[in-house]
Amino acid sequence: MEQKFDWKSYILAFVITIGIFVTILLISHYVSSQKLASIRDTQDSIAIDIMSSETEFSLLSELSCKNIGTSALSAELNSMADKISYSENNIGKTDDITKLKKYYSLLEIKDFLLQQKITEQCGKKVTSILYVYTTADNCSECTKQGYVLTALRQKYPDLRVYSFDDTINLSALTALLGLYGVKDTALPAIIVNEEKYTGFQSLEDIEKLIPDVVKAEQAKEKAAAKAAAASNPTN
Amino acid sequence: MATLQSILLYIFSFVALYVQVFFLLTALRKRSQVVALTVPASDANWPAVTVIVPCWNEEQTVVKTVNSLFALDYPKDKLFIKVVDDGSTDKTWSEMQQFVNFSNIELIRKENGGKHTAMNRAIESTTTEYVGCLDADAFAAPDALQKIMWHFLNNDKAMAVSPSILAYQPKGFFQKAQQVEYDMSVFIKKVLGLINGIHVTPGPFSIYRKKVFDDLGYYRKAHNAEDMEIAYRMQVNGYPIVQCHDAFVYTVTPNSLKKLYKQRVRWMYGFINNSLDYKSYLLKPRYGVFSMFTVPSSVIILFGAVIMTFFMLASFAESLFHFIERMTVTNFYIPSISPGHFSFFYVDARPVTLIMIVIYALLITTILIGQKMREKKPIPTLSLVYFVAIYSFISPVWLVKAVYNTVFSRETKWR
Repeated sequence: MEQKFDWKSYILAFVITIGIFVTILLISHYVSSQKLASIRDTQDSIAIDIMSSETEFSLLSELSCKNIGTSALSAELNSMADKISYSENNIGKTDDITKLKKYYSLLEIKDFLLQQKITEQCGKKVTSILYVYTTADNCSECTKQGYVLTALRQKYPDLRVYSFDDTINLSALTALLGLYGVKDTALPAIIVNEEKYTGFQSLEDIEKLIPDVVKAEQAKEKAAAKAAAASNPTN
Repeated sequence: MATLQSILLYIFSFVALYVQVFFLLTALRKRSQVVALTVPASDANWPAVTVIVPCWNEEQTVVKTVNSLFALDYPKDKLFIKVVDDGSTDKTWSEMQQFVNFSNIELIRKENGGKHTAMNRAIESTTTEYVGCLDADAFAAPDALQKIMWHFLNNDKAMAVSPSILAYQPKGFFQKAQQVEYDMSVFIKKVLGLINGIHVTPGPFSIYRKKVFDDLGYYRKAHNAEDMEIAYRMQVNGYPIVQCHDAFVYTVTPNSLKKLYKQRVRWMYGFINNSLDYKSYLLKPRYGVFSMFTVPSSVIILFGAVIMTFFMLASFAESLFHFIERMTVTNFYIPSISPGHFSFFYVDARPVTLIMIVIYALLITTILIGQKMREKKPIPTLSLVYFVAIYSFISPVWLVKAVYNTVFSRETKWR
């Protein structure tokens, strides 16, 4: 016995399902674009801050040494790096994200140069690490190096880590890497105190390269412990 | 790998969403039939029915099952019971002896040959127009038979009527999780019944016109899922199966993971192999909803679940690997997280996540409608969490095992 098959309900359900799918894709796309826009906004404000510091510095020269403090800026740059890498993992390597990465790298270079100037003119030593990695091929050493540097950055808030993706096409970055002789065949690479180190560097190795930062952090911890003991004399 | 994974993920989630939309849409279009209760007339001329109780090592429950048949609100002279002991090795036969002097009950004992042989032995000698089965671990509600028979009296075309099956006194994690599944089935089966797409007439209290067996033959050995095979055979021959959602039958459900796993491997194995046996009837509009929708969509969703679980495990393993790597290279450094660390930026709004949210929301809606249909308050409970936990993560395991058994031709066992 032949049975009836009512196509209408199936087609209607199909159309509704397509509708739900398209709506979800649109919502998701909207949220992603909002997220990228928020990164762009923050980058713009960081750019303004850097330019403002640079300008202030050139105008007042040594006089401004007392007031110059860009640690808040560095924290912002770090959170920006996290957001960009999160977006890269979740949205993929889109043109928008590549652009944001270029902008971010440029801001890092500018911040790095500004820090160098401050160090030169004001004698304030800021230890920074330049870190170059690649996303072109499966660089497992780079992943490991990334973990180590993230942990160091969290452990020593005064340490500045500038990370650069070697695969982005940015002439300023190429020039910077050229200065330190970083080759794209020998990655990951880090530059500490003008010295280049290629291949994976362990946490202990890097800590040995930045004794000032380690000491400063230990001193801070001691002071904090003292203060805590003083405020709670019963213990 | 990542691209293949997302393509498959989109395809399977589309099918899963489509099936849910289809069920809810059909329910909406036929809402008056979905909620219509069966109200039998008090002066109905009830036909004679034979109910067969096949038993294999059911000493614990057989008496209770037969007593639930005696307690049925149905004329005693119209109800005939046949209890078949299929070569039990426990005290089932001696337990059955307490019914030996009842006029409308026949006790049969035979060599063990499987449930279908027990059913066939009893059907052979059945003279009533209607015949049904009640598994010896199930108990029918007193009004169940009247409601089922009322559908036959009002629908000449109905060749079989199935009840809603619920878990008998669910206790603990596993039984409560299964209860949620049975609640959901109340709704799903009703909708399938309304579009004649039912693919199984379950052992607990499905009633058939005897004509079905006279025309299409008796039960066959069918991968330990004979009640599915007979439904497949009925569907491809155009014998409609009706669902009576307010006739309730309670079945004893597995109370441990091991028992549940065995039962589900058997069901899945039965589903896969019966579908393979009937593959030439699938995706052909002339065999109706069963052929075009029920079986194909179940196959896609089940296999989708397996593949997705595989990807999920792979991705979990990868995350675990990275976590261990990170911990090792950073000397187990764990940064302190301040409470103000949370940012909406990191809320996952990928399409796949949003689709999953919609799928789970519709799933919960389906369960709540099922609860309402079985006269239970449609309120989400902890059992829902148990259900999601078991069926999202453990069900693919028994499916994989069923596929494995099929590929390597291993028959499943009843227990």
